[in-house]
Amino acid sequence: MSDDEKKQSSEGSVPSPPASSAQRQQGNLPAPAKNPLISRRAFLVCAFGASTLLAIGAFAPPSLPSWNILNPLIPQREGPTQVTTWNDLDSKYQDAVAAGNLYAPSNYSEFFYFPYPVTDSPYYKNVISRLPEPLVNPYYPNDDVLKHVVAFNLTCVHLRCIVNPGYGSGEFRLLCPCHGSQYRLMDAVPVAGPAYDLGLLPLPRVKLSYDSNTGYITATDLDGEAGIGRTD
Amino acid sequence: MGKPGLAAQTRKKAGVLDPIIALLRWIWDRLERTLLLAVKIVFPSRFISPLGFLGMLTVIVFIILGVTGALLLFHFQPLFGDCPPAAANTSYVPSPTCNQAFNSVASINNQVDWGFLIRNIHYQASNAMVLLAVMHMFYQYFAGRYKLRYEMLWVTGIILGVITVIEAYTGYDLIFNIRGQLAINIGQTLTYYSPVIGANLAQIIFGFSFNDLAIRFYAFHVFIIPIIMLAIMSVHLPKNLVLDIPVSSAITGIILIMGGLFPVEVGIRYDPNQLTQITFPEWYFTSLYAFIRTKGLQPFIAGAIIPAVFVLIFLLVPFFDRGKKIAMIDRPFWVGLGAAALGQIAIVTVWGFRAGNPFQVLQSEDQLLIDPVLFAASLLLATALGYGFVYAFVKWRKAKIEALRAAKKPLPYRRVQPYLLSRGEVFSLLGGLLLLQGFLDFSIFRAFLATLNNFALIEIGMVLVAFAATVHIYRVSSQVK
Repeated sequence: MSDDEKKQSSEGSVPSPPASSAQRQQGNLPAPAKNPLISRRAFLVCAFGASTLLAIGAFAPPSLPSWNILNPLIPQREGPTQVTTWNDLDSKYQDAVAAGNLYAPSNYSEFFYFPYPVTDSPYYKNVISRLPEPLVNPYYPNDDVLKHVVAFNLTCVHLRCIVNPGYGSGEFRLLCPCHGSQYRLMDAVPVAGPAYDLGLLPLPRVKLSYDSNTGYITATDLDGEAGIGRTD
Repeated sequence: MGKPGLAAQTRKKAGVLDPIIALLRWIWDRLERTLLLAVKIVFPSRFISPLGFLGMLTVIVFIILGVTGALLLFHFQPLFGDCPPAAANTSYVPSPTCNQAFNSVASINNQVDWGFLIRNIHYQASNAMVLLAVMHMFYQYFAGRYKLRYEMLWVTGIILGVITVIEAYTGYDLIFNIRGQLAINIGQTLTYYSPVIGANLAQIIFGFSFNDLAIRFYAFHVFIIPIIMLAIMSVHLPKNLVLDIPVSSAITGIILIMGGLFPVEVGIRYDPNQLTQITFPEWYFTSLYAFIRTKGLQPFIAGAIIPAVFVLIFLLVPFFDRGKKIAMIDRPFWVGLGAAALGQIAIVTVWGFRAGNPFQVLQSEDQLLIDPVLFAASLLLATALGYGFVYAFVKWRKAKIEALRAAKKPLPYRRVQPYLLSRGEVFSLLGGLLLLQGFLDFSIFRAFLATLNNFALIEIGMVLVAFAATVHIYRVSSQVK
């Protein structure tokens, strides 16, 4: 309620208060008002309160609340981004096989940032890995190149630490160094640790495409949300 | 010449400094109306137990942190910079513009003159502040000084303690090593999991990018949280403060010695293009770390609800303990509760440093998970033993005293007879301490020439401790035989 409304309500409708105020003005008599609609004190308090609320209200339009000054600027998402070449990834894998480093999958993996660039994205670190031989990417079983490649967001869905490709319990996995969550490298489904115990979602998957002319593998989209997981 | 004559002479001669002295006197008189001089600072002339003024020691450490922090501001860069993407192979060389915050901390540590010393003092003082605040709280708790008009001091003190830990958290995240980075992630997610405003709050506190985060935490660490702490301190500090120069100096010296003995390393640089590694949080967070690693516990419950309930119980103690007696012997339940809390803190903090099997050394991710049955059992055992033993002891002691009173026998309070120094002992001790300080000063000079930073820091601390001892001996020498 605004001040004006209150003034109207106190002066209008009931006849006695205006009469008494007129009397006071004329004769300078002490206020003889009997049962005024609203006492002077109550009116002042209400006016003060309403004015305070309205003054605060000026800073809180619903479309753009003023506390948005605290919000960070969110950068724009990048479109399809070239990540690496198939030859590059596969040669790393062949080197690792030759050197006997097969059980350290970080040797044939590459980190990349998508859909936000490196400095804009604490939680958009991704990995692209050449899958060790018998494993096949279940999302691209018929693509000759992409069935050997997986790419996932590395933000653990438990407490958002950054997981690493590794090997444990006879399986290629993504291991979390904070609280021990483990995901399968093939499809990033939690298989051990808190993420498994609490029944959390698999890690978000980076959708890939392969250009056979140039040999580039391109990240086209992120399936799921970093730190939350994917629901497919 | 008599005194009146001297006074008359000085009155007649107008000195050059007179206007300045008059100005200072004028300021001093007006300061009496301010908070600054309304606080009464007592310099005790005799030794009193430092347990009684642990709070003032915390304030002194806070001031040390302020001074060293201000010096570090000249060199720290709150920026993450730009990290060009790179392949995760071993021949990778990080770009110099990547993780500028860490680079600046490393340069403070390795290149800036006195940087190593200031950074170590700042780090060890932060540990000392958390430790002293916790000790202060438990001493006041056991002394019963949380009720009977102490409620305001108690409640603001608990809030101040929590804010101190948050301030320490923002501090060690700013280094942007792997430990800080993982702590940021966990803090961000726990904030995100908070009901209703969680997602917005996480974005406001942590920002969106690393550069956002660096500048936000910098603002929190150097300005916003210290201002809040000062504001709460203005309600928390009592009117009469005990400033004991020797003990304060000794505490400062111990902080410096700790900095020299256990120099804090810069840690492993967080590089977004590299693998992350297993790291432990700071010791005041390993308790939360243990809860979060316990199998089957929801992260928000483990990392936020459980500690909040623990703090809330302490916060509400004065409103449940309505007894008029404050002696420990009259409060067996509350004393037992305090001991149980200490036991819980100890056992959970130790758990945080250990693997799932506490007798193994933590090496791989498989060992991180803690068995909830074992964890809860150890926690219960510590609680039950702490509470049971202390409760039984207090009850037994009270029964014994009452029996002695009934039999009209003297109470078994041991009165410690202070050792009185003879005149010769005072002179030789003071002389020896002065010689030690002189030797240490030379040695510090030599250590700096030889760039033995740790050694210099230890020796500066020893000089301060020797100064404390000198002042203390001077203080007790008034009681010579």
